[in-house]
Amino acid sequence: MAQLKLKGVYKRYDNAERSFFRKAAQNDFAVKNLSFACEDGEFVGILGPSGCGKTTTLRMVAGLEEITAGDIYIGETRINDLLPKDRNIGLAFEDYALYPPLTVYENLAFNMRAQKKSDAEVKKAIDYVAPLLKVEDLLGMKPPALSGGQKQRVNIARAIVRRPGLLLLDEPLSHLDGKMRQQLRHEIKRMHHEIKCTTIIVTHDQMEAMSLADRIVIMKDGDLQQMGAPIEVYDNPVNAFVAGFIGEPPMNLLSSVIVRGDGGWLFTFPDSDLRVEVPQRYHDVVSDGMRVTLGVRPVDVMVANIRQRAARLLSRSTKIWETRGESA
Amino acid sequence: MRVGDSLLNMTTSEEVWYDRGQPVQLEFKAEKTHLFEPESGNRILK
Repeated sequence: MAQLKLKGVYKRYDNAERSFFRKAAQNDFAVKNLSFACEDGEFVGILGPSGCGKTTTLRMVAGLEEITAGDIYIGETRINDLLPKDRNIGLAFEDYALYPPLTVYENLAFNMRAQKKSDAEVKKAIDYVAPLLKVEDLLGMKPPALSGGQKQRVNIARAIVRRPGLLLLDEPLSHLDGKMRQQLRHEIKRMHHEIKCTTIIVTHDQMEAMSLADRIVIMKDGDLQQMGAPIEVYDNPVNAFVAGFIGEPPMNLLSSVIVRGDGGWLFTFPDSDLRVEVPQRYHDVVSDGMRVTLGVRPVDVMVANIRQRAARLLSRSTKIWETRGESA
Repeated sequence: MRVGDSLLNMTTSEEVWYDRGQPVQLEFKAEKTHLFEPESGNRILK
């Protein structure tokens, strides 16, 4: 196990790389002043839209990208200048990158053999890891004979067979169909519970991140937006981007002007006669004419036909607003 | 539902149908509403 710490990490691609990484070219920095820590044994998900810097972050941790500025630590060791092979990291990318001519067993053994481990040590490690990823029946097969899900199981098994301090998973489920994704998600969760290896998963799939990770890091345009437990981020987004990004269907974000009505503060909406009472907890921070963005999740909006259900709603809540059909 | 230029999505626990122009009532869960600054997008008050 290992603690991972990023302190003020920046990544800027040079001109040649910028032409390849288009997003970086637009924003200059692919990652900006990124700081966060993963505790020993923690499972952290890095989540964000394409081009937000999440894979670049993972590659810097792995040593596959140079860091423009800042520091990365594993435990107390600053690893900026360590070669990837010296970082004690296991990697599994979305492309399986298995060696086709080798059996699954030989694929799993490959890196350990390169480290001059004995046959007995290799066998012991594979005997431990193969059941965890349910690849024990595949050990004699070669990758071309495997399904996508089986290849990814082998890929992850290969990443953990050396018992790394840190496991990095980059979109490991993105090539799999829905049912297989769900199944392998459970396997990864179970595997992590078993080996308790500090793990980071990069994904654009919020369901994946929220179901697997103890905490999630939300990134946008190279910036960290929020880090927290999935439910914390869902319930208390720090900004409108996170509010709109997390949750399916996404949170409603409505432009509103606050006015002082006869009965208290009200949200009003441009070109609409909808009026919504401002909750009490905001009364100390609102003012007449204040422009805000009001966020409310679809599950937290209730609607009823006035004629049929008004009595029921009125008996249930004091927060009732009348609106009219399409124009609200 | 359209609110000015924006669409307001909601989830219903049962299958319901409304006619265009039909009066309805809305309820927002007060403790589940969030306020953000329009320019920065930052949350106003936790």
